[in-house]
Amino acid sequence: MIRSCARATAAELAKLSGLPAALAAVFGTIGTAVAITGALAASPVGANEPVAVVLQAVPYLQAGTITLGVLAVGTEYADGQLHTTLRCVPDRLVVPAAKALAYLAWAAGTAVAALAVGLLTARIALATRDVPVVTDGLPWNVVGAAAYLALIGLLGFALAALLRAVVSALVVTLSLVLVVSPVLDAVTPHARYLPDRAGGLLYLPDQAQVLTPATGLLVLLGWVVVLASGALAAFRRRDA
Amino acid sequence: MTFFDTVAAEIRKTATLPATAVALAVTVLGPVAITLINAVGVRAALRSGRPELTAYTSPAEAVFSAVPIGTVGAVVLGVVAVGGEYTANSARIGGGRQITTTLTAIPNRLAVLAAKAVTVVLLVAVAALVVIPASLALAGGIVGTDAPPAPGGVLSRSVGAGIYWLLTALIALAVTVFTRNGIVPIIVLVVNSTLVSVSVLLSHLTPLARFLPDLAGMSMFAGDLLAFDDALAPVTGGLVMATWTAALLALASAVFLRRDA
Amino acid sequence: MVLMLSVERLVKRRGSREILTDVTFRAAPGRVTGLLGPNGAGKSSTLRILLGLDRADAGTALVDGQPYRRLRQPLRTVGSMLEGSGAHRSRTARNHLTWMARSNGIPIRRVAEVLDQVGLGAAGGTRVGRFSLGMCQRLGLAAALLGEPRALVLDEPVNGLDPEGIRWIRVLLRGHADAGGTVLLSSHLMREVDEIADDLVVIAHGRVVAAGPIREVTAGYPTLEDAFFALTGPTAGGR
Repeated sequence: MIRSCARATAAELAKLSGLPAALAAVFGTIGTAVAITGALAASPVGANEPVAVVLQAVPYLQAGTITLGVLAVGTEYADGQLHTTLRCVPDRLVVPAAKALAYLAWAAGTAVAALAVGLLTARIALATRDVPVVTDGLPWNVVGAAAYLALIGLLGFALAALLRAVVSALVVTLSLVLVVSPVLDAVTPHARYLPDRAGGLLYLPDQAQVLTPATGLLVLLGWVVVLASGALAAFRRRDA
Repeated sequence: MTFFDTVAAEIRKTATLPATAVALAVTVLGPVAITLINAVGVRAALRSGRPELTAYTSPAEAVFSAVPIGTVGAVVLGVVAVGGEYTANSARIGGGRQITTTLTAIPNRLAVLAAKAVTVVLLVAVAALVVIPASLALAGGIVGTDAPPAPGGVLSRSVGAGIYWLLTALIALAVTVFTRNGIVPIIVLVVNSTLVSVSVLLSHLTPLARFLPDLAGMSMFAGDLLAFDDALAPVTGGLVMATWTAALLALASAVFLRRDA
Repeated sequence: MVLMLSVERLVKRRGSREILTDVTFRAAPGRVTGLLGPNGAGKSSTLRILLGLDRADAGTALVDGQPYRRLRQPLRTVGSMLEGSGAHRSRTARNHLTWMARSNGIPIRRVAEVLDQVGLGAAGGTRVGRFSLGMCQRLGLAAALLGEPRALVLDEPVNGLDPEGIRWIRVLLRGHADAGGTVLLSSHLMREVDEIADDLVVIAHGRVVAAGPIREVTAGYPTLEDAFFALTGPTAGGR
């Protein structure tokens, strides 16, 4: 069981690396990190501290990991690739588990690279504005931001499994996180239970102090688990 | 074959795509649902005597802050009208693309593109005519007598929101002609349809950013919701966005005419 | 080295329609078994159930006495090919075969070997979306051969192949069976089946209407084509 899981994960990792769109998502995210942190650090509304600048850029970067998550699953449903996958690995539990592991590895790498490059860009951009830069260790909230980026992409992963298509999963996930969530946040305190708001506590403090980073993480994971188990139940029952 | 026939063929082709149905549902139900939640939130804040709990207190703002979700629907409509042509049939049946069929049936490429634009405009216009009045009525009904006196310009802002959707859908259509693939335009345009878009960020760097199509267009309806200073006047903004749209469509036509199918 | 594919009283419904009714047959080692029938007869559905993709409503489809879904490294036991390449169009052929090999612990050198074997040695770095129908078919065959399996299950393998490709696949399948392997292929092309197959399973409207060595099935008819139309035509009632 463990060996077949390891083999399936190796296959999923190779699958992602052979998908030009996935590579574009990775490098697009890193490029966006440079552009956005540079713009924020150079603008008067941006923070004056590299870590704060990078954290302001996270809402833009999440589009990248969400795209990665959607592509990892959604491309199975094009060109009959899913049939090939299931002929290679007939176990309906091993396939999603291996896919999630491979996605998390890629997303974590992407998030860490984007945040690191963002920190560097912010530092350079702030230096050109002669803002004194305080150097200290890696604060926990940059780590939290990396975790958030990887996990919010799992939401796209789960929705793609549910919707079985790249474009509709992208539209739904991006609208939920980027359009619906800020709009609702303006009118109701319950918006804090939306996946991105709750998960956002991993790198931002909660002003209202209702949720902690740990409970926020649980809320985000709850969303993922509910959506993914719906998708998994359908996947196991349905003809491929 | 007349242009009317071409439009009729395009409407049939686009309207029967499942993605179109989903996009129309998003355009119609999305703003209504968000308006509903917004209005309930506003009413609760007003009744509890703490209007500072919500970002605004007027029912009209509850509607206009929901416009971005309709924009997402408009983007998808514009993208699928073109993107659907380039989606290969599954490789299992030879990987044929509908564009080949379309262009052998209607070799006049300009007519094909124009018919697509007309189709998208019609679909979005119908959606806007239903959604915006319905949302305004809904918000007014929910907030009811607790509402502060209505600010002026609700009608012109409503028209502005509808025009914004139309032009956004056409921009999405034009961009998809360039990319021949729906994923990139959807990511870029959906991310940028939010009220805190990349363009807003750019507006802090250069005053020229207000001439970007989305920021210029948002001034038609956003009012105080727009999170940056010195936005263009609504009419100017609308004209700027329309100019962008026309330019992108012209460029898309040129590309579409010259390129091998 | 013997491997039997056995299908036993298979029933499959789609909605209220029964698309397979009591389908029973075997594909024996050392022989090429042809599953012959008109479009929509249930050939692909049968193969999809055998490969664990679809579920049967009743009956069993077994590979050496086991359901496909229970196999640990299925590509090493059964190589299969469904319609087309089964590869996402934006991948290269080499990447497609590489991830398949990794999933079953097959040595990566096999990727280059099978690409050469099917005549795609020079096209390994090409995106599958640029392949012609015949090249997609060859890639599907390469995927089937990847794990050096004892059994081959092929859905319409000659579709889209040029005459040279058809001859090549005929030689390949004959060699596989002569070496003791099991070959099950479906087709609606009678001439091809006639030249490749040892055993025949004729299927029509979801039922097996004739099965056995090709000579027995066609006995009493001048050609396989006459036998086929007599067996599968609207007036056919089995024999």
